[in-house]
Amino acid sequence: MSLDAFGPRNFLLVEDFETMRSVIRGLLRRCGAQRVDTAASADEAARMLARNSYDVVLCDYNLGEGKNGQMLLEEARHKRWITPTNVWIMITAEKHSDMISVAAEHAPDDYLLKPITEGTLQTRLQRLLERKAAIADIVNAVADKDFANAISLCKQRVAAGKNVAEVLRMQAQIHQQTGDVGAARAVYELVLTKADLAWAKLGLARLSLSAGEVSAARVQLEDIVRVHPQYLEAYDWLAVVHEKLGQSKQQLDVLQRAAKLSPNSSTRQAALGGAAARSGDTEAATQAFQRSIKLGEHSALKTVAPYLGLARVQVEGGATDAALLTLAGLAEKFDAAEARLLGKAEELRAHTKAGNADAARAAAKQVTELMHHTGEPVSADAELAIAETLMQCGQQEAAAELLQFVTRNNHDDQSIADRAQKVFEAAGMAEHGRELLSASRKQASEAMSEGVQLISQGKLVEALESMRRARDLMAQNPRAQLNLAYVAITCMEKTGWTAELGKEARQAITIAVGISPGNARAAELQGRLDKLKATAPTT
Amino acid sequence: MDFSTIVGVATHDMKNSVGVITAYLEDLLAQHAEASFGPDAANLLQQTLYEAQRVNGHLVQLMGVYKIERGMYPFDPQEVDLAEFAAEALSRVRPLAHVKGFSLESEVDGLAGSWYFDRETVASVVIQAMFNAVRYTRSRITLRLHATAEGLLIAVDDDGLGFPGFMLDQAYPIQGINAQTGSTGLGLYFARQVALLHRRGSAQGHTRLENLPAGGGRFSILLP
Repeated sequence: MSLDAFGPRNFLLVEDFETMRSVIRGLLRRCGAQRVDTAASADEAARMLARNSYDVVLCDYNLGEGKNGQMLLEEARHKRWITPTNVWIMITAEKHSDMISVAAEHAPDDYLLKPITEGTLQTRLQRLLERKAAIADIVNAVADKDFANAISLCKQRVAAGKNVAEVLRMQAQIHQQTGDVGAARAVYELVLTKADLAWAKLGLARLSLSAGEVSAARVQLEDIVRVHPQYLEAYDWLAVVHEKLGQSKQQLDVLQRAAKLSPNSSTRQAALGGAAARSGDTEAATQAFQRSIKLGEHSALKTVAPYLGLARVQVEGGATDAALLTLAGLAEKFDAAEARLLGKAEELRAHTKAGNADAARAAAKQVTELMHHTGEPVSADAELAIAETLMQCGQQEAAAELLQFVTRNNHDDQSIADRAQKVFEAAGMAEHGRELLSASRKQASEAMSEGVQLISQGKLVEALESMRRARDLMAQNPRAQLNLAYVAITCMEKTGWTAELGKEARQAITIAVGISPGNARAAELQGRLDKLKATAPTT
Repeated sequence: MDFSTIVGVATHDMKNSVGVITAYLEDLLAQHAEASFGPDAANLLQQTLYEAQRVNGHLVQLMGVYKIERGMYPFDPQEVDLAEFAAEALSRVRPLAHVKGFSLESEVDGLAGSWYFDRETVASVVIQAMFNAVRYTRSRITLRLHATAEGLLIAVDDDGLGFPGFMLDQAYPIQGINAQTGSTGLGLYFARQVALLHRRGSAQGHTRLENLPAGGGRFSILLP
C-alpha cells in the first residue's frame, strides 16, 4: 500500500486539546491523508459520525468532561455510525487496565501511545487498513450469517500465517455463536499453545460457564486473576461464578478488588452495588450504585440495574421519596418497555413501604396493563422479578396473573415454571400456585396445538382465529407470534395481500425477533411477507 | 494525596508536553530543513529533539518501573509483526541518525514472522537502546530480531567503543547509581523488568550487555 492509499479516505480526528489536535492533523497530512475532519469534543464527534461516514477515526481516550473515547466508540458501534470494516484508533498517553480488559466487541482496532510520530502513524495506519481489508470477507460472511463460509475463510487465513491470533479469536467467537462449543474450545486451546494469552483463557472459562460447569469455570477464572492480575474482565466473570455458587462474600471481595484497580466501569460498579446490598452493606451498596449511574450517564450501553438497585436499597432503608426520585431518573433515561416495567414495579414497592395504598394500587394496575399490551419483548427474568415485587407488595391477584402469563409464554420450559412456583411458595400460596400454573401450561399447549391442527385440516380462517387467541394468551412467546404470522401469510398467499393481515404478520414477526434475535423461522417468514407485499397493489 | 500519586500525575502531564515539543521539532525539521536555518541551527534543533526524546523515554520508564513494581502494569502480550515492529522502531530514531550521518539498519528473521509480547514496553526498551547507541556509535546501528531456541532475541548493535567494564557486570545497575558516569541505569533496569514480565512455561525473559568481538557493543533482550 503506497502513500497515496490514505488520500481518498475520510479521516476523523477527535482530540480536545487544541495544540495536540493541530499536531496530529499535521502528521496525518504528511502521511498523505487529504480529507481530515476534526472534532474537539465527544458530542461534536458524535454529530459528525452520525452525519458522515469515516474510514478511519483517530480518537483521544481522554476527552475532558462527559464521554471519553471509549464511550464514544461504544456509542458509534451501537448506533452503527461505523461498521466493522472501519478503523478506530485510540490515542492515549499510557496504557492502563481498563484498556486491556475491554471486551473484544468494544475494543478499538489499536491503541497509539503518545508521543505519536510520523513514522509510527504511517506504519500503523497502513497495517490497520491492510488488516481490515484482509478480514473484510470474514466480517461480511458473519454479517450475512454465512457462518460455514466465515469459518473456512478463518482457516485459510490461519494457514497463511497472517494475524493468526486475531483470526483465531474471530473463529472462536463464530463457533460460539453457532453453538459449536467443542470447536470453540479447540481454537482457544490452539491459541494457548502459542502464547499465554488472558483472553483465550477467559474464552475457555466462559465456555465452561455456559456449559454449566461452574466449578471448572471458577478454577479457570481464579487462575487468570492470579496470573494476569490486570485483566479485569476475568474478575467480573469470577464474580458471576461466585454469585451462581451462592458465595456472596467472595463475590463482594473479587468485585472490590477489581473496582479498586479500575473504578470507572459502570457495569462493574452496579455489580458491586448488588453484591454489597446482598451482604447487607447498605452504605457501600448506595455508593456503588450512585457511582454506576454517574459513570453510565453518557454511555450508550447503560443499563437500568444501578437505578433499580439503588431504589431497592433506598426503599429498604425507608427513604421512599429518594427512591421515587431515583425511579423518576430511570423513567427519564430509558424508554424500552422492560425498563419502564421494572421501574414501575419498584415504584409500587416504594408506595407500599410508604403506606400509600392508593398509589400502590395504581402502580400495580399500570404494571399489569403495560405488561399485556406492550408490543415489545420483555424477558422472563424481568417478568418473574416483577411478579415477585407484586407478590411482596400484597398485590396477589396481579402477581398470580403475571405468573400465569410468564408460564404460558414459556410453557415448554420447566425451569421457568419452577421459578414461578417459588414465587407462589414464598407468599405461602404453594397449593394455589401449583394449580394455576399447571392449568396455564395446559391451556397454552392446547391453544398452540389447536391452531396447528386446524391448519393441517386446511381450516385457515379458523386457524387464524385460534392463533390470535394463542397469541393473546402468550404474547411473549416467539412461537405463538410466528404461528400467527405463518397463518396470516399463508392466507394472503392463497387469497391475496391485505393491509390488515400484512400489518398483523409484520408486528408478530417483529416481536418474535425481539424476543429471539436471529430466529431462522422469523427470517423465512419475513422473506415470504416481503415477497407478498411486492405483489400488493400500491395505493 | 501521597507523593507517588503527585509524581504520577505530574509525569503524565510532562509526557504530554514533551510529546508536543517533540512533534513541533520534527515538524520544523521536516518542513524547513537546512534551507531556512542553516546547518548549525538545524544541528542544534536535531540535538534538542534528541534530548526531548530522551526525556520522554525516561518518563515512560519511570512510570513503567513504578507500575511494574507495584503489580499495576497492564501487561498485555499480543501478536506483533516483527518486520513492522522493526520498521516502527527504526522510524523513531531515523531523523537523528540521519543528521549525524549514521547508517541505520534492521535484520529481521523472515521465518519467525511474528511473536507474542507486550508491544508498548518492548518498543520503549528497544527505542531507548537505539537512542543510546546513537550516542556512542561510530558509524552504524543495527537492530536484529531473531528467533532462537530460547525465544525471540532482539539486539541493538553499534560499532563504537563498547560498554565500560562495570556495565557488563550482570549485577549492574542493581548495585546503585554510578555517580561518575552520570548514568542512572534506569533504562537498563526498566529493560530487565520488562524482560522478566515475559514468561513462557518456566522460561523467563532476560537482558544482556556485551562487547562484540569485532568491536562495538550489543544490548539484547530475550523474550521466551
